[in-house]
Amino acid sequence: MSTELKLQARLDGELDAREAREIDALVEQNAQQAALMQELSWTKAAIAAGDVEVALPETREFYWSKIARAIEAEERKAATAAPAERSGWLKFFYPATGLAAMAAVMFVISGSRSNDGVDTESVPEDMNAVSFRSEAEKMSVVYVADEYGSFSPVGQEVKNEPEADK
Amino acid sequence: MNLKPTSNLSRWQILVLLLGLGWGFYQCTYASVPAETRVQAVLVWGTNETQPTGKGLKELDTKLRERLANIFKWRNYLEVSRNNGNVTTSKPQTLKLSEDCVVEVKILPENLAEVKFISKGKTIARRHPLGKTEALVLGGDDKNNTAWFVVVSFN
Repeated sequence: MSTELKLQARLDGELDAREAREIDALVEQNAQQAALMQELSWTKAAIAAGDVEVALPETREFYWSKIARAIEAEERKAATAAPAERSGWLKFFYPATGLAAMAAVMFVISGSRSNDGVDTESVPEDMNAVSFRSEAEKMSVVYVADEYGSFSPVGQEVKNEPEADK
Repeated sequence: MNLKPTSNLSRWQILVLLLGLGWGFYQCTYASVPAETRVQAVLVWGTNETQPTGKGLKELDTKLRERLANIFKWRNYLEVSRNNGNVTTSKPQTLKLSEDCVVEVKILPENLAEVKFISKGKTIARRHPLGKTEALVLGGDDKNNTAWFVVVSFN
């Protein structure tokens, strides 16, 4: 601490007893330091006399509580700023996920509705049937294996078969 | 007085709305059941005889004969009978093809047709999508290495 600051501290009563004695001795021995001490003393007295005391419009507790609330508000604002940046992509992700799920459900519903029960046939238990599709000829085929022709809808007279073949 | 709307649709709500409208349009356009459908059934006999002498046999139209010949092994395909009619969701159609054989067609929801082929007291049933232009062919073995076919087509 410089000598000037120690002089100011001595004037304000902020030095311990040993330092105070040292500064007092210095002032007694050094005329320049004594003049500075005198000037600081006058300045302090002038400030003390001219300083206007400001009266707060509210109580001290209320005044400081307002400051405390302002500080807390600033801290909350700072705390929410980071999640807002992080949730930027979530704002897109969540609705997009919901839309994708809804589209998938619609697709499944539409698909199952149009294909449910198709490509299956019911045949009598004593018959074997195969089914297939011909993309080229645009035909869905169900073919029954019936070596005796017992299921044939084509009459004997149409086929011109002799009676013995019946 | 402030007459501005108090709620504005977000872009996601608009997107969901458009998606729903698109789906509804698809359902109305492609998945809906037509009011009335024309159905035709042709009974065909397939044989390797070059000159069949059966009664009432006719030459099958070229296009259908070629389609069948591209799938099956028989050389000749002859038309035994043909019948057609209209079918609606409320009115099934029964098409008689021979003394022992009828084809029942019923329109189901979801743009499907249920085709029942009944011959000699036995039934084969099959569901067929109406949205496609495919024909449904029911067929089977017959005596003397011949075959029968019932070609059901919708339009």
